[in-house]
Amino acid sequence: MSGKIGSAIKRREDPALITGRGRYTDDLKLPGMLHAAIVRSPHAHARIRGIDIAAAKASPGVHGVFTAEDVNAAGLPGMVPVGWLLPELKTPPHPILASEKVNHVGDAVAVVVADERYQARDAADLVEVDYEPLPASSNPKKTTEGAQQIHDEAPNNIAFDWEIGDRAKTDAAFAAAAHTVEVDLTNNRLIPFAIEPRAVIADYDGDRGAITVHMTTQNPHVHRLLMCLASLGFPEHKVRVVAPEVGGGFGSKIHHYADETIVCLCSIKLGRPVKWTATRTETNLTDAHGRDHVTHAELALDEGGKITGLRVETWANMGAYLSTFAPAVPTYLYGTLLSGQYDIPAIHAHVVGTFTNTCPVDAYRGAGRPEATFVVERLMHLAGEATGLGPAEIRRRNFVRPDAFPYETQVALTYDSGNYEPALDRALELVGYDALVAEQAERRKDRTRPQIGIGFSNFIEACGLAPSAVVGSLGAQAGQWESADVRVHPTGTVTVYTGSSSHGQGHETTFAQIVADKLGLEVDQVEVVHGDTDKVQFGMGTYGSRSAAVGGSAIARSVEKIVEKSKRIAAHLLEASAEDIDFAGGKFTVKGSPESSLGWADVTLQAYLAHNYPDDLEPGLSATTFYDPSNFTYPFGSHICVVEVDPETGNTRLLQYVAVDDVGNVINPMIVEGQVHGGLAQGIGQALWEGTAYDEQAQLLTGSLMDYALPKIHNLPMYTLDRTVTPCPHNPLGVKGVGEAGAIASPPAVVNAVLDALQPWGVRHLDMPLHAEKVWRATQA
Amino acid sequence: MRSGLQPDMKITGQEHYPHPRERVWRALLDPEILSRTLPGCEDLEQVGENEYAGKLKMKVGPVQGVFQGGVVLSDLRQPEGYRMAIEGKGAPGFMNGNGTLRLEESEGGTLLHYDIDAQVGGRIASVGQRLLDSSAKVITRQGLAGLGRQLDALAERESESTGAAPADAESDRATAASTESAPPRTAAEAAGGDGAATPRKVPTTDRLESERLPDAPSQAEFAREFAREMSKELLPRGARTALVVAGVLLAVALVALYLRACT
Repeated sequence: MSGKIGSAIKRREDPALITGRGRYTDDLKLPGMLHAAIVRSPHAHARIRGIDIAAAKASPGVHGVFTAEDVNAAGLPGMVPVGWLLPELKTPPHPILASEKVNHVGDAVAVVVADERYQARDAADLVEVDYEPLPASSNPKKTTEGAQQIHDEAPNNIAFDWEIGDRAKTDAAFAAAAHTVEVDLTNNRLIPFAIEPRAVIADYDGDRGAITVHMTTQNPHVHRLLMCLASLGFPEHKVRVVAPEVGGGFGSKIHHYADETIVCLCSIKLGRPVKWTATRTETNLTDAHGRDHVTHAELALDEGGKITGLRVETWANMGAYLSTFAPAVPTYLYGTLLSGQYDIPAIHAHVVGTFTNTCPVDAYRGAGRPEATFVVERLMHLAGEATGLGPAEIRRRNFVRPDAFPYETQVALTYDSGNYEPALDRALELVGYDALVAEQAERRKDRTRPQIGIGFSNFIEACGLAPSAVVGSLGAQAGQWESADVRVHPTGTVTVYTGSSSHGQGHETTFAQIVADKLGLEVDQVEVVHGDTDKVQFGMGTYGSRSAAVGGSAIARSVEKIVEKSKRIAAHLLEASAEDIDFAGGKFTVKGSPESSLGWADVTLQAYLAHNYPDDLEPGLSATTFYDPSNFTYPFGSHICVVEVDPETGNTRLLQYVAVDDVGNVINPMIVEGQVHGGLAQGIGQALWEGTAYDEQAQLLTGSLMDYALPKIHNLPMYTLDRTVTPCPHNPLGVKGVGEAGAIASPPAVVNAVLDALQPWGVRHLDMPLHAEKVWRATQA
Repeated sequence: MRSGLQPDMKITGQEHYPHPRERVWRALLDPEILSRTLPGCEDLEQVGENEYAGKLKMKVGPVQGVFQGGVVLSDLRQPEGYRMAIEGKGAPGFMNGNGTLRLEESEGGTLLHYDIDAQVGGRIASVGQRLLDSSAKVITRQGLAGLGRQLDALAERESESTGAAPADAESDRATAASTESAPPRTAAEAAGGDGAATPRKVPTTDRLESERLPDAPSQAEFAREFAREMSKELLPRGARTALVVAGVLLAVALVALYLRACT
């Protein structure tokens, strides 16, 4: 250990990225490259009676116009696959280009390729599609109540009907309850809004029968696998997927979209590289959205305010098709998290996943866990009111005790570690709770004054997806390990090949810190390579806050193997036994005789010279690890949001936001803080401003930034951050993951705060986003 | 015409014209008059009995393009009104609607009632909707005002051809619009607009006559009106989409009536 882990060094990636020298997919120009524009349905639901491409084909600069017929003619399987299966899941076909029916606005029906992208877009407008419109639905619950059938395979538009927990036991708990609280809520649909729109460049090499795809992806190997299995059908060794710089994803670049294979089709047909970059409106129409639940939830408590049961009924919108990991999000990433930080003896959750004529919904920062946390923490707020215990005490009485770990919940997870009360205590201290409560009481005497609201959110998340055997048993069609190939060069510098592909997380910094720390090197002596299927053997990618916990652990394991081998080389050179060699600070010493030592580079050079070398050891110094964790990790935290709500205007002002997170050991505190900041901004955005609107006919009304309000810097308060540290007991770094924490914790903190401010008006619940009009109306009732 | 589609918006309104109902009806059947009432209509043709097809050029914020439109009229009750079914599609998306136009005699003139259920989709809904409302109001207002100018001009023509003063009571209006160089009235006048007229292809039976009519509002007028509209008000979301569509549909409907009048 040389102190590189835990050091707030600046991100090495940033100088290039913030000076415009980052090379993103759209920056790449291949010789002879053409440009594609995708023709998308303006109808939410319609039969296709015919497609006339003649005018588009004759348009200036156009090289080709392709439809579903061409997919078949080219011999591509042409189907977008589902990567997570549930029992009795309905998996209707999702062709990359629709030929019979379109199922949401933005569904792709044709593609036009031209010399210039503007020629392609103009020509795309000339493709005449004859639609026969059908009734459409957009609401996840109403779609099951007699709406037009979307897929023949899914009666009543139900994709799956899933439950977890013990219904009978839970019902019994409610029958015996002293207090019950309930809430009907929606978790508003969100558009991910990565700054960089999705983009693809496909370059087909007819001589080799191979294709290279540069694209915006969080997981190049997973994309390659899914394309080879279902949409493109090429043998895996003939496909190379490269992720250049990727400008944010938040989950939206995990999924396999039709678009990447459509662009491959263009390149195959024309024998030239073809680029497609989504417009912002295409992004809004087709990047898999997040959330969109309709939920009824109830909590049962005994006399003393101890929870005895939790009952949840949720309709989860899947959109028009099942996106890559969509079925997992409202089930195994949602139902399993409903115990929160609390010891709940009986839980039952019933989730109905439904098809609607909307953009598919899939993982978005937090993916299921924000939805679960919102349900649990809204109920805790209401329970605090109903029992008179208040928000802090009701939580204290129900926390899983620190001596109860590993704690087995009623919903299939085993929390490996945790210590929840200190985080709450610290948050109360930082926010100045007692003074705030006094101020709040004072303001409540006069309802015309701006009211103070204090909202709590005590969240837990399951990160670092997770033992492959477990996720496999739950339906994942992929493993959930991560790979690391650490190669030591003869001169002692190191290149790390990681399967965890960065799209803004700072892997090149934090992963180098891990290696530098353990080998006594400078961070500059470690290069991190990721995002290319030709360079990295295989990897699962970056999502679910798994990079440090799984990808970082794989690197740590590889480094351990390297240290072990280098000790044997050093022992040989120092004429000692390997057990007697200490390695610290980049130096090998013989125990008890510190004068007898070797530097790191002396040993690494000998590993490649192999002139003076142990007989039973192979030359070279590198190690590959496929690290499969033994459990999820369980970061947690205690957040408190303080708002001022003006009853005159309904406007909510954020006065304070305190976040005490426990993400285990920290590799780079600056990056951890940045992740918390970004997550909070997204969660606060969901609570106060962001809302994806579809009208009754499933037309998207928020197709641009004019209509979809993202949080801006001036909307946000200065955050007060702190941490407690409960290391993960089962991975070599003791890290747990931080990428999603802020987005998971903050929506209920903000909403609880606003509703606390509205307590004088007796408002029990308002659905997000809590924009001023909604809040103002509540004060007028 | 499409039983499956449930219109998701409704727009109703009325406009008073100080002209007798017979004249308004006649104006609504006069091809020349209607061709000059609305901005953006092109290439109209009759494709069947009570069935018309044409193009409508539209610009709603960042969304612009040409809608290919079709209109079917039914239940014609001259001079009281008719029902219409409209659909249009193009690069900006699509629109569908059903509605009625009704003429009612009222004190000092005629009330034109419009009542339309409509729906838009595609790019115009997803990107343009924030601006739809303002665009709709302008289109509707310009269309209605344009009709008023044409009625005034019609009154003037009638008075000239009979060599007598107009029989009805709005001679001051009629004289104000008595020559082709007369300043445009109402909305266009307020906008100070006399920008270049949009070229249009319409069957013209009497070129000389037609040149004496005031022009339809220009694109420049539209833009000025639109800017004023945007700065003037921030409307609640609800009616936004409905208004433009209503305006556009009204425009198409009027054009359709005109075409019918041609036959």
